[in-house]
Amino acid sequence: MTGTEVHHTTDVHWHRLNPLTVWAKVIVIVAVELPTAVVILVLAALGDFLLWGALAALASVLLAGTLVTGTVLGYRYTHYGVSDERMEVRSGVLARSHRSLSRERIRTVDLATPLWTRPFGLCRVTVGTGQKTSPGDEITLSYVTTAEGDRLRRELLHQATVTSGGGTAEETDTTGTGTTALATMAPVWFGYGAAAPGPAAVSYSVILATAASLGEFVIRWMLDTYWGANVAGTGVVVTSALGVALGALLLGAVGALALHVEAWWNYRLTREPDGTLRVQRGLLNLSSVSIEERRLRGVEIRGHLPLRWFGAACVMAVASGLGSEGGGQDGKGSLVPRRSLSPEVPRARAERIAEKVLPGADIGPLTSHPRAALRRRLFRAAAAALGLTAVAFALALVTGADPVARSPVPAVPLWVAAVVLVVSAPVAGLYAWGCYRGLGHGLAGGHLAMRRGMAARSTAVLKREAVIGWTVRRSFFQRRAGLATIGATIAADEGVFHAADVDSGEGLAFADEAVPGLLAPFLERD
Amino acid sequence: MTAPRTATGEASGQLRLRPPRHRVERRAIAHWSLRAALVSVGVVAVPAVATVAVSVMAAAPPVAVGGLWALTAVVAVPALAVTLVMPQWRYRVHRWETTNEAVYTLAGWFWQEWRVAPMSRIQTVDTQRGPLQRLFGLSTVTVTTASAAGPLRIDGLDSERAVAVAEHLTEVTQATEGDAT
Repeated sequence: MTGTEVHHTTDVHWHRLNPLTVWAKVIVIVAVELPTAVVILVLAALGDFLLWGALAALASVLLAGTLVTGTVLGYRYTHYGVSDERMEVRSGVLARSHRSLSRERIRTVDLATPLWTRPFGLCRVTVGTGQKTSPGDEITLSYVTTAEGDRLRRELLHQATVTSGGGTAEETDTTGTGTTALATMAPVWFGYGAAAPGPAAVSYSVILATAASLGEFVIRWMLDTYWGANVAGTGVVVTSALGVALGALLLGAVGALALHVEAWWNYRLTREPDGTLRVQRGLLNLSSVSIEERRLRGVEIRGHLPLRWFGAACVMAVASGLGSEGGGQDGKGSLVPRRSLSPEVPRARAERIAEKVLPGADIGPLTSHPRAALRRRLFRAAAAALGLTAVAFALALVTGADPVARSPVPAVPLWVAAVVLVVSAPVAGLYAWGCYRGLGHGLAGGHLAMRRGMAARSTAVLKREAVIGWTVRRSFFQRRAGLATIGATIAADEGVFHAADVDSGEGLAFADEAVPGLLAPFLERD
Repeated sequence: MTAPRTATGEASGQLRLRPPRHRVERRAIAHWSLRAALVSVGVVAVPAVATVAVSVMAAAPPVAVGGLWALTAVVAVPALAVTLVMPQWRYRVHRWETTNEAVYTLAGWFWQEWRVAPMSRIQTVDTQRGPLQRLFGLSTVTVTTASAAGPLRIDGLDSERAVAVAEHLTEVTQATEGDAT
């Protein structure tokens, strides 16, 4: 079908990046250099450092000059163009490079507007093929005007999706008809941000890092203040420790909330007339991710643990070319995965979004897995608890025995092992129970659904035609228990979705029913 | 939490996967044995050499020497068991089959894995021969699909047979309509 429209002429209209690019980059350079300059000036003003100060100032001026020159030349020598068949970029001052991407291979066109380019109305355009194997799989333009970015997005994704010959004009106006809003942000949902996995991870790791680097200083100060002063009883120490922990918890939550709000402000999920789903979001740094619906293999609803207790879940796309986790070079990779379709929202709303994105994806009650699956998980939990206890017991024995007992190494008392057992056994048991409760599979309105996980419970709803193979895995113990782990292979970055520890016969029947014909020739009945 | 099971598949006996049609070459047992033996020797050598080195030292405490011998035994016993048991077990499990619609493999021993990939989704078909495999005239056929789950492998085929299988698969794949994405 597409074969006819490929044979056009290959004349390329070459464009430059926006001239304001230089200014946007210079601002960054200045922002980085400014603290150095201030320090040098202060030191110089204090005297003594005149010579070294002058040298350092010279060095930093040279560095800034080189960077600015590089930026200007980089701008002058970068040209990009889009022909009917290819997108091409020529760049490089000393080593010229010419990158060319066949338009058939283009899968994603993402726009990112970092904070410092916003005053200039510029954005970064990342054009990708969905593969990250070689550097030629991705082209980044930094920066062009937002209007130009939008034009590129529409033009590049347009051809990729118009295969069924819809008579859409080249320049469809996104403001007019055609664009359907699927979801927007409700202010209440920002509250989930305090414990949203990405922002919370970043926020708490910053706090931990700070605590680690300040830790020694704080301990010294505490020792100097309290050691021998004999005023502080254990009560004060415990209270202050609790206070510090609580403060850190609160601070982390506030930080996570701020990051979450920054990332998801003005969130909009839309269906564009060119057959893409588009996620737009951001308060300071703006981002737009487009996902071709043709490439969409399914959706995934995820509930992460502390938030799931409050009824929150988020929606993610299962598609090729988005990277499995993280990814995206706009510096927010770990904060918001590129395949995110929604922030943390109430579970019912997440299911509604999933159904809008993938019509028919109503997740009814799923078939739960046999009791033997629970036994396996409980057995693992018991093994883990006993293992921990054994380690504590061994430590107590070794540190209590003769050669070590006389050394300054403190002896671990035997009751620690008992405490480890008493604490770890119920925790592991509850975790196992949660894992078992998380298992499920079923057919949801023409799609197949698979659910698993405890800390991050994921319900994947996959298109039947997206399944490109089956993997049935059985360990020795699974064979004895009549269980199997059935994996649906998907042409997406995640690769396989598993229904773990399903009843063997029932699982095969499910797989056979979900994708008729593929497994049937290899099935038999007892 | 006893949710109702779906009634499918329970009407007339349990559904199960039938074994694929063809076994691999019997020579594969020798190949797997040799490979396991080489790995085992390498793994056991580390604590064994350490034990000998320590016991040669005049001042080595007997506790340390005894502990190291115990460690060596702990590593050596499972290594020996795997070397003796695994190849036979594997040979009884490994099977493969190609039809006009799909490639079907069964592999593993303790963990066994059945895999099905339809012809329309196959991207590449390769044959590989490692130095050990060459000793026994064996090859591996690797069938890649668009999934990130990794390729299907048929291990322990006769080299000429492997080439024929790969050619056949390539022919059928090219004749089959389908986008391999």
